Amino acid sequence: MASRIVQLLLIIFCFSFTESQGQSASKIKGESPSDTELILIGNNTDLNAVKWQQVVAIFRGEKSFWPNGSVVVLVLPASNLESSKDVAKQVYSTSVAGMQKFWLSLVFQGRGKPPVFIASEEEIIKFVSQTPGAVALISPELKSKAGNLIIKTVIK
Amino acid sequence: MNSLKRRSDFTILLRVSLMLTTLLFSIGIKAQTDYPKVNFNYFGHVQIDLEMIENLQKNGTFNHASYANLGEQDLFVNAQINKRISFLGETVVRPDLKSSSFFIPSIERAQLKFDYFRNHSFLIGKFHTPVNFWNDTYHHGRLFFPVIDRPVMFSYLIPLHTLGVRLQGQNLGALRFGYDMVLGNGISSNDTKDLDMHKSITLAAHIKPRDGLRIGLSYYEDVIKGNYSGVHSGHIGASHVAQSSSYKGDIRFQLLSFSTAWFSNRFELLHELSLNRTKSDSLGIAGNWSSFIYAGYRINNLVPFVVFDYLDISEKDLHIKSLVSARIAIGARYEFTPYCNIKILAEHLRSEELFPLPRHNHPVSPDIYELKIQLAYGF
Repeated sequence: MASRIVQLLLIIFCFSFTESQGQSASKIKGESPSDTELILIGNNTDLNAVKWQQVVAIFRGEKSFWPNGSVVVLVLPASNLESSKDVAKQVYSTSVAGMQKFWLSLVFQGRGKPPVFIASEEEIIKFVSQTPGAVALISPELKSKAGNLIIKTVIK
Repeated sequence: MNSLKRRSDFTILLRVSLMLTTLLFSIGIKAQTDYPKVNFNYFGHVQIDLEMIENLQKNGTFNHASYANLGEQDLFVNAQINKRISFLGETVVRPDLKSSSFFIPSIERAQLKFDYFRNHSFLIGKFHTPVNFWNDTYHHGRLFFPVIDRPVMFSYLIPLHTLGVRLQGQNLGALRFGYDMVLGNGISSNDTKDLDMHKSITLAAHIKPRDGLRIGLSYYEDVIKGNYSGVHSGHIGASHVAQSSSYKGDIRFQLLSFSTAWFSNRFELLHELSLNRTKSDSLGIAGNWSSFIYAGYRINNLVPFVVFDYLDISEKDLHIKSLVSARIAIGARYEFTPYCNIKILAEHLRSEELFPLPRHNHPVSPDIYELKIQLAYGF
């Protein structure tokens, strides 16, 4: 009985690891799952040449501080904004509801600082401009209003 | 008189000046940093159970019971106090059969965290001991549980809480390596006192090689003073664990745990394996183990799943009476929103000895069949 269980666990473990190798490879190539464009904006973040994987890591709460020592303040579009679907799909590979649950869970674990959800893209730009360390993804239509906050167009 | 009046006026003036200075200073700090940032959340669940318990006195017959019950209600607070210091608190009102109201409040987590360098932190307070994925992730949020109940090992082998200090690192390097090192009060302690100088040690590490996948390993060690269980050895209650009452010597307790958690957009898999070794002066070394396997497949908001949960407590163990139990369950989870879901589960529990469920006042059989429906919420 015990040996059968151990065999089953080993098979499951190997299967999980094989899957992980496959997905990692596609991310390394910089492929994004969608052709929607988003603009990365930030304030005092020290981000210049940023790769797609870095953007994903930042927006998944894997970075606490910028190299200059300022706190990473994540700004996410609230569920009423159309851009929330694009951010959820491309950064979190899930729906808007999935993105919200991701953050509820991470904060509950004590392994992440809660992001700021804002219900207007103009307000997102305003908040980022007033908050050192803040970073956000906005729609290309708002590009002209973001001015020198723009870090780069991260996804095409 | 004039001198006294001048002194009194001066004191009032000084107090007002101090208050104004403090107030202005506070406003100044608030304007620059916007701290503290405080978030409150609430989690809870309601459950309906239908159970069939074999009647040992009358072969082939079953005792039936059905009931609704109010589960744990969890108030969660998270506060960013300044740039590097944060607080997390989780206070739960939970069912307790010993209480006159059948509910007691319980501080489950209260921890101050200091982010001293990049993704490295120092914590002090009461935590869920990070021995496995479940205890480090789900805590008391039934909303996040993939199934209805915790693995059986949580009532027997897992030292749920530790009150002490903790070094933590997370998301380090390409594999997103994480570590936890905990030194704290052990299994025989409560939240105000420990019985001896020996402290529990937890060493845990994990990697996250891809999104949704976490593989972890941990080691926990403690000396159970006088074979006494405090408040950290079981969420259903330490009294639930059938201890050997005759042995009052110390017991060395070691636990090795492995976790594999994989939650993708389609497949969900969680495996928790714990190997436990206890050593007493009387019967020597006893080996116990438990394995929990959950597998689910997501179809939009619906996740059908299966569960296998096995526990084996050695006859030589003097902390917990010998027990072998196996639980097989099939069920489904439907997520209405990220903040509310419903789970339905049918399970069969079989054990070699009488299973000491606290809610049964009558003798129970090794065979228990249950149908459970749980509504979990959190916001």
